[in-house]
Amino acid sequence: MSETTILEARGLDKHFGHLHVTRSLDLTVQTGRIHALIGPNGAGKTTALSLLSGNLAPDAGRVVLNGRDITLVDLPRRVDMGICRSWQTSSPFAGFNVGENVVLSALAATEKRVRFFPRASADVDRNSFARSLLGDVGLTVDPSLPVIELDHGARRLLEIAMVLATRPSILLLDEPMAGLAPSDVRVVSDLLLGLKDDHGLLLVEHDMDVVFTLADEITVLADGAIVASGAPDAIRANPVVRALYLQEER
Amino acid sequence: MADPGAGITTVQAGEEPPPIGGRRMRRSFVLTVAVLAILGVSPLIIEPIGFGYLESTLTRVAILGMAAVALDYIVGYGGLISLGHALFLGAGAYASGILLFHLGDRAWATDQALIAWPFAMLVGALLGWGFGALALRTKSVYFIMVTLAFNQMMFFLFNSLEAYGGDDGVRLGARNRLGPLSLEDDRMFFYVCFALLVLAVVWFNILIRSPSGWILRGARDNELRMRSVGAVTRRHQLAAFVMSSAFVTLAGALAVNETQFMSPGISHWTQSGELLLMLIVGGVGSLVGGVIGAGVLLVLEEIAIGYTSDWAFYVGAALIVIVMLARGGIAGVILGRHRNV
Amino acid sequence: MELFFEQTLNGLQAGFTLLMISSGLTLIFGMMGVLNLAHGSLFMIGAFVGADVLARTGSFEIALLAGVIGATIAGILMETVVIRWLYHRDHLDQVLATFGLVLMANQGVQMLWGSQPRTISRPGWLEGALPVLPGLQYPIYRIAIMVGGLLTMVILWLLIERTRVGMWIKAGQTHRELLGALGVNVTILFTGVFAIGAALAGFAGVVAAPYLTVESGMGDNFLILSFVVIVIGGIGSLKGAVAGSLVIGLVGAWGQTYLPRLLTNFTDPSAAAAIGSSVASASIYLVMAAVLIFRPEGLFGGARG
Repeated sequence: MSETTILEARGLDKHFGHLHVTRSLDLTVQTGRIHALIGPNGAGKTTALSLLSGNLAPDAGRVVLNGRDITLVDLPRRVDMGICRSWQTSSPFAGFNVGENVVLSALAATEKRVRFFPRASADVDRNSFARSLLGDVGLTVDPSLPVIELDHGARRLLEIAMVLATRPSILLLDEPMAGLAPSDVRVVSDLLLGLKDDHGLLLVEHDMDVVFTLADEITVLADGAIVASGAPDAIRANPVVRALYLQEER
Repeated sequence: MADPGAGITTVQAGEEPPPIGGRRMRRSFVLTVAVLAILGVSPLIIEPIGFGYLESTLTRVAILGMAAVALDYIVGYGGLISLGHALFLGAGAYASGILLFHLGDRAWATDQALIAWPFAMLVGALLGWGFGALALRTKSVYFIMVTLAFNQMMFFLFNSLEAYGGDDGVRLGARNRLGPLSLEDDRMFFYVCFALLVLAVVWFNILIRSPSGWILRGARDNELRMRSVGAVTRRHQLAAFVMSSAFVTLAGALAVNETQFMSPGISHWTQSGELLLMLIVGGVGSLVGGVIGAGVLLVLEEIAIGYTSDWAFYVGAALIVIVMLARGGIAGVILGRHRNV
Repeated sequence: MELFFEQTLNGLQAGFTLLMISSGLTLIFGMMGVLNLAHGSLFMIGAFVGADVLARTGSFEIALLAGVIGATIAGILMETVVIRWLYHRDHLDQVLATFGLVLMANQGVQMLWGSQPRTISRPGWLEGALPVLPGLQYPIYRIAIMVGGLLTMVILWLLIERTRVGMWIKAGQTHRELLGALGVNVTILFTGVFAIGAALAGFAGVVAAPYLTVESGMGDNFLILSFVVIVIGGIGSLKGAVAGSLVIGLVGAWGQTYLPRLLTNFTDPSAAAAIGSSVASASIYLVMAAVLIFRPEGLFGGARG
């Protein structure tokens, strides 16, 4: 097992106009653990993830990586530090084919300076890395396929491959399972369990079976605040959480 | 030119490019070569068929075609719509023109193209760096407004240069000297401009395939997504803006040689609009489209002048129709694709 | 001191003229999301129609009315024939199509009225000057422009803040999709807002014409200055347009007077005059650059998309 990385949210607060979407949020993501973030629609799950990934700045509170305050570090520089997020809406780069999308992600994470040589597609190591990632996530389509020809499930898998291409140590995944076929859910579940050993994972997910199978720790959000947090069994037994979800189903 | 879509499927050394994407790549390459070849032989064939008067127009096609290609790199591949690129035409005209104007009365003056043209590109790159860094602090429609404003600022600056004729401009009455080549000969001057155009087309084709060019194109598709995989997109956009500026400035230096006349008119904001117009007529995001657009517009204009003085009115009307109906431009029709800016 | 006061008044007058153009532009852009390069052409059309009617009737008041009506009709034509189809297009399409309108308008006025520049002279009853300070006479016409500009803005403000249509306009700035749900006829509303912007531009065109030459392309610089106003003030709010317009007007007026003087301290007078005038014309853009550096979202702007 490689060294442990710990990403923490400490008292994060965020407003959108008059909406208080995140209320004093504390959260820990660390190597070797899968942390799932659940809650009803509009609970502020994606906002929380955005605050951790750096594409939103909190109004108050801090984001801390291995004891270092990174609240003011922007999105690309957090990727340099090993934090990478996926997006709920699959939006691969339309001007590139499937394989190139993964290559481009790997390239973006490493090419910090402006370079015009050699050709972006000429790096053999990077290309085979991208190819192996496509295999890892179980995406079996022809890499030279235009991304617009991918179906929804394949796009979700590509999304994960693109995150992995940045070689992150912390993965922040926004509904990775949404819209996947059961067979693909199994592939991604196995993948995430495999990643767990040397990665920290935060999962925003609606699929409760997945959450309770995979997660080591579950945090339940409602109206931007933490309702409950703990091991899956404790969460399952929590009456407040049960009420919240029964209410949702009704 | 290879199509940007030559991806990781070409991993194994010696492997043939895959069929998917390959056909488009070959067609785009063929189109580029064909367009440049047609432009290259045109001066030799127009005289016998009775269009000899178009020779200087062809030179302007090569010059403004180069500017349009350079503009396409940021508009078509970067999604950054600059409505200020005429300022770089003006910068190139004044940078090389002033060096030439003072020949004989200032020690720093020179008529050597090998000094004046690179100097102009350097000036253009520096201006592009400054204006680009400021304009890139905004996005989308504000970027258009800011670049247009800088265009106007430089236009007024050129107008205020009383030493060089103010808003009337000044006659230079000579061209730069380029080694043993006689640029005073119009045919020779055309081929020098043409060679530089080919160079620009090759260079920007290299750029769109480069690591920086990929990030530029990715940011056009989705900038937030590009940043979220670690790309410092603004740095690459600025690099592209500087590159584009430098080549438009070179075109400006060539333009002042073509007319042998230095005036602010070349940097009027409508010239920026016309560069964009060339792009959309020829096809945005195809590089060679800029050359096609410049050719079609300038040649038609030259011919139309014999029949109407209201050419601009009809161009305006045609432009609106093109925007409404044929979004891929001529290159898009030939290559069977639509732009996705 | 008199000079400073006079230049300040000149700056305010220029600012109010600009405001009549930029307020329409910012309303249209804020509501419909269309960047209309042809907004300056409406200013020009107003001036041309005004000059034409003035030559026929000799009445400035009728000319002013005709200029406003002419620009409004041109604006409604523009919106219904071209711009309406651009609301869902990308910015490149909008820029190019409205640039096509600019080309048509700039050439069209020459086809209609010839390439000879025209003039509009001030109405007789606004000739002369008023003592605004001891020892400072200020032209009545310039004061009238300011009063007229102020009145127009008050009316516009009342329209937006106090009427149902204004409520729709405000809703359209932030939640465009909501308008349909409110049962508003969005098509007519958009055309109406465009017509208001066109009328304002046409009004400005006639009113400012005595200090300008009525010629093809005369609106272009006002268009570009309006963009500078929007960048400085921030989009969509009248407040931003007011602040931006006055800043531009004042900086331009002060810069023209004081920069050459400042430079005489460093270099000989003729060179100072030459450099000064170019620096002065650049000064407003330097203000814009400063705003971009320190407050890229504009003085009154929210987040920019």
